[in-house]
Parts: sequence; C-alpha cells; structure tokens
Amino acid sequence: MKREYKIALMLFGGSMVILGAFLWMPLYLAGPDGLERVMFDLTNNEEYEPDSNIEYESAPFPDYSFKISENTYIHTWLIGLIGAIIVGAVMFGIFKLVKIKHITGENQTESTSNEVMTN
Amino acid sequence: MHIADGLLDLTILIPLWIVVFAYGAYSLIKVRKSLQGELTPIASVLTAVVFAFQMLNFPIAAGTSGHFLGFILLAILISPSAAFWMMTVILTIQAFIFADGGILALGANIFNMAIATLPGYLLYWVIRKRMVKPIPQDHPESSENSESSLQSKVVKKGLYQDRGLLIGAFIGAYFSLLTASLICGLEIGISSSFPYPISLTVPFMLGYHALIGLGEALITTFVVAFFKKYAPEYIPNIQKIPIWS
Repeated sequence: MKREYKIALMLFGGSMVILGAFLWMPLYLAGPDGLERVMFDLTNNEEYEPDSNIEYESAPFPDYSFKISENTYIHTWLIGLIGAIIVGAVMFGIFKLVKIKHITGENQTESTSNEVMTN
Repeated sequence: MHIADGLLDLTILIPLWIVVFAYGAYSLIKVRKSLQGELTPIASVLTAVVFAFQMLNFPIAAGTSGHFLGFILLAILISPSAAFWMMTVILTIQAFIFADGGILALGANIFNMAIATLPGYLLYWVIRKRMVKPIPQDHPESSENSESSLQSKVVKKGLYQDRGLLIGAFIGAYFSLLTASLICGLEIGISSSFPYPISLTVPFMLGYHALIGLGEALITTFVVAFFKKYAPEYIPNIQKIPIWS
C-alpha cells in the first residue's frame, strides 16, 4: 500500500476512534455552542430559534441524528462515519476533477506547442 | 458558529454570497495551479477528519460547548485556497444533510469560516517565517560542498530549526476563531432580524469564542504535531509555505 494511503487510513481511523470515544465519554456536551449561547443570553430565552427552519425539515439527518425516537451515542457516531465518508468522497471527486481538467489543459498546450515546433 | 436561516437579512446575505463566489473562483484557479496530485487522498481524508472533529463538542463554561473549526489546520497542511474549498464542502454537506447552518446563510457561514479566518493563517505564516532559525555554517551536519545540496539536505532531513511551526499553528488557529467570531458578531449585530446591536453581539461572541479558541488551537497543534512526527513531508517546508496559493 502506498505511504499516502496508509497515512490517510491512519488519520481516518484515528479520527473515528477519537469521535467514538468522545461521544461515549461524559465529557461530551451537546449543549449550545458559542453562537447559540450568545443568542440565548441576549434574548433571555434558552430555546430561542430564528423564524425560518426549512433546512431542519428537509435534512436527512437533522442535528446529526436519525429520524427515530431515541438516538444513542452509537447512532451519532454512525452518522459521523457516514458524514465523514460523504465529505471525503465529495472532496476527492472535486480535487480529481480539478486536477484532470488542469492536466488536460496542460497537455493541450504542450501538443499545440509541439505542432508549432514541427511546422 | 453555524448561522441558521432567518438570523441574517438578505441585504447582508447577498453581498456575502457575492464575495464567496468571487473568492471561490479565485481559489479554484489557485488550487488548479498549485495542488499536487499525490496530495489528493490526504486532502480528502483531512476534510473528512475536520468534519468529524467539528462534531466533537467540548464544554467550555456555563453549559456552553465549543467545537472545532479547522480552517487553519487545512490551510497549514494543504494551502489556504484548497482549505477554502474543503471548508465549503464541509459546510455545504452540514447544511443540506445535517441541518447544521442555514442554506440561505451558507454564504455567510462560508465567509465566516473560510475567508474571515484568513488573518489567522497570515499570522501563522509570519510567525513561522520569523521564528525559523538557520543552521550555522560551521554546524557539523551542514558541512556539505555546495549550498544547493546543503539546502536540499536541510529541507529533506528537517535540519533547520522550524521553531515557529507549532507556535504559529497554535496562535494562528486561536486568532482565526476570534476573527471568525468577530465577523459573525458584526453580521448578527447589524441584521435587523436579530434585534440586538453590535455593542452587545460582538463582545458576547468574542467572550465565548476566546475560550473555544483554546480548544481550536490545541486540536490544530496536536494534528500538526502528528504530521510533523509521522509524515513531515506533508508540512510545507519553510521556503515554500504557501501564502495565496
């Protein structure tokens, strides 16, 4: 296996283990984040939410949870795994697309300059 | 720091979308020129890792949690322009699949987390450049014939004292979170949808994120240290740290 793939695998596996461990530990806190806390503090409303909530209804995994009655940390971890795979795959596809186009562009430039030189 | 829909006015969202599109096009050109093919697997996995780390909510104070942002980490290991696209993919998937951040507000979120964080990367760049200590010519390991062979050996073996890498990563990551929270505070402060002025939103945002920034800085430094130890070839050497590529 190529070294870059080994490192990539190590990183991915390591991050999934850390995510699992963190979700399982009591240290994990699904409380409001910095921005939410600011909104709660300023409005004096612990359940403040902006008016629009379209994305919540249309998302397949709203708030990193399955649309089932009870989500455990394993469900959240599984969603993390699914999300990470999707993100990695999309990014890989985009980078490959960008580089393929770039290489094609370079080849075209090279072949054109070769033709000019031959003539 | 994901802004939901309904919090910002269209008069704020539209200009931010325009900036994001313009910077995105510029970044794409830069990425096409600078990204090396062999970096693709690592860059993709790093994006996935940052996504996973963004799910880690760590407690800071008063029942509040903070989470990782990751732009500086990606910018250090790949490049700022690539990091913009990596953050864009993460935020887009978070908005559409996980309802984390609004869809209309996606432009603002990309702006806050992938553009407003750039000063943090500049700070890292300056610190790393300033703190590098060249190996003295009479050093036993630098007694090579030509200067170019010394240069390549020094870079290959990491013999130069790159003292600023971890310090720069720590400070840059911390500062990036502060700038992102400052901009976010300004946006919600000037938005008429959230009826509180900048004089309140900015200090509150900076206050909480001053604590969250420590987590950001620690995670960034930890991952950069991991790369420094196990895969130093992925850390751009001091002569070639990208600034706008």
